[in-house]
Amino acid sequence: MINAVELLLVEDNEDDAELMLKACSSHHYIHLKDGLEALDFVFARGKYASRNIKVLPKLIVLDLKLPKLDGIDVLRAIKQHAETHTIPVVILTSSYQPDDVQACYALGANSYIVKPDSFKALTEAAQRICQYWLHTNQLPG
Amino acid sequence: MFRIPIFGKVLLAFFGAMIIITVIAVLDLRSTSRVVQAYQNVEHSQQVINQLELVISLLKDGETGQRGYIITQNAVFLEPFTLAMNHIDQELARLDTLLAERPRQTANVTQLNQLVVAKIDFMHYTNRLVGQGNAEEAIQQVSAGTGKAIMDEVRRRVQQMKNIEEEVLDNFSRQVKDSYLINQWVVYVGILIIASIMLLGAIKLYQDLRQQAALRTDLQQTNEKLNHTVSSLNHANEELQTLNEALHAANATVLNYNQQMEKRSDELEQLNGELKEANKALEAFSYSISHDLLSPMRSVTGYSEMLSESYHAQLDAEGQRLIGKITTNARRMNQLIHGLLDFSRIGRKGMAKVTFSMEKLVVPILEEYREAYHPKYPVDIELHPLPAIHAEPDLIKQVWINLISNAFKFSSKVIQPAVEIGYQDEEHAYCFYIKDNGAGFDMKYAEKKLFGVFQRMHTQDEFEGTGVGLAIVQRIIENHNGSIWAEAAPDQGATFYFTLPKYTV
Repeated sequence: MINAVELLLVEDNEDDAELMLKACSSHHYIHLKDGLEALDFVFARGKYASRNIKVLPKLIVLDLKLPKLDGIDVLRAIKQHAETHTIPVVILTSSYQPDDVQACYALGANSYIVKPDSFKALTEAAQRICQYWLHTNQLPG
Repeated sequence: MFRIPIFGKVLLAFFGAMIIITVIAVLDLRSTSRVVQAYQNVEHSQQVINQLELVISLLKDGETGQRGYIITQNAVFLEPFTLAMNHIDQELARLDTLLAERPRQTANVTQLNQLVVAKIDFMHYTNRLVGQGNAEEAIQQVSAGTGKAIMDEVRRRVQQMKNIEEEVLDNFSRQVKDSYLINQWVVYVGILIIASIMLLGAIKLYQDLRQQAALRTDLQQTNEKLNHTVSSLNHANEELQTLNEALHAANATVLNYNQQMEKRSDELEQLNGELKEANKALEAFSYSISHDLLSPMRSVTGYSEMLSESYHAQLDAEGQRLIGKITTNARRMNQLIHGLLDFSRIGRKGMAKVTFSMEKLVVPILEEYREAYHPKYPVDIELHPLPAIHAEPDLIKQVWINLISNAFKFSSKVIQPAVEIGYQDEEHAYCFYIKDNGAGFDMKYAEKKLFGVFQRMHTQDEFEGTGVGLAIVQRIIENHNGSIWAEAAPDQGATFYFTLPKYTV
């Protein structure tokens, strides 16, 4: 099962994660809470060493402020490696600071979405993200 | 420069005078030699005349002896004759010598010699007759006049010769006279010329001396001036030295200042470092607000909303009221956080200034916001033409958004709300204004609160707001080197003014 992951959500806020996963529950997903673990998963290291590295998540939804390793570092690592740089990465964060937006696109983020202020809006946003990237959009590979 | 011609003239005059003197000397020498020659000629002529008279005298002596002998037939009487005859040849020879270089007398000398010889022969003849005792014949011969005729002829010839000598003498003396006269003239003229040259020289010399004297006076004056200048210079030098010392002192002060400045600079650098640190901390703070504060707020609002919706039936009236309070305050907190983030973003925005039309910027904002605050009546908007300005368009747009939305918001509760926008052209800046006829405010509290962050002139019940809008406006205008102020009174509307400098290259 673990190899058939469609959505990798990297989000440390339990409440937000709960809302979003509820919204995307029809897809196979994995929810990780820190940047380091996310990279371990993607590159099949550490506790995910046994994972088949060839099977990559179809979409990564990434928060920026994360424990251990920030979202921006995760993004950089994924976009730097030839095996992983084609995975679409959607940045979903509360920050609408221009510096953050600029930095993410510069590193190759495929989308940057600011978390809405209400549960409802956030749920809707999560639904739209899954709908668009996993259904509407044609993915590589 | 003027000395050389004068020197030349003096030389010329000197040489002229020398030449004239030489000419005079030569002429005088010639004249003198002529006089000497004339004198010699006169002496010569005198000798000739004397010699002629001597010859005649000897002949007369001879005649006297002849006649006495004839008359007395006494040989004693022959003595004068014999004496004369002894000398006559000698004297004739002397005469010949004296006249040897006198061509005009040559013929006369020859004649005279012949006559003298003839006379002597005649006297010898008569004397021989007497010696033979034939005195009668001798007397007859003398009486015949032959001897007398010869003697007369001698006298005539001698006279003629004397005349010639006198003529020669006259001639010479005339020549001497002429020469002397010419000489005299030459001397006079020469002296006159020399005198003129000397006079001219004297005048020139006088002028030169006077000029020199003037020059000397000038020189003296110049010298005095120079002395004065030198003393002034000395004085100036002293002053300079004083100044120099002052400069040194100033230099020391400057050095001191410099050190202080360096110290200040170090302090400033330190401050700058501290500021950077503070800025970093601020950025971290703002980052934290963006990333950490919003999610919990969303949870608070989200869960309280869920509670009030899904558990409405289970809650009593007080419980519902409390849930409502939580929701409202969470929303308000959310607004404040966004306001704070907006405000902090202004400072970090780059200032990419361009020239654009203020009017084209303002019109769409007016359209967008005119109905946002649900005014009782349609807003009467009066927009005057606005100029082009040089500024950061996004920031200026934010200024207008905040000011226009304020104007609409605070006039939304009056009957016939009116908003007017225009500008005044000042020397170095444009002064824009936006005027509304809304709630206004009391100027008493304006100074402290109007442009402060999270400061409000109205309660949340009267007009909603975060108190960030005007703070943002002020920050943007001040970042553009402009200024902002307001005029208002409670219930009489408010006018906001702000200036933007005109674009200068």
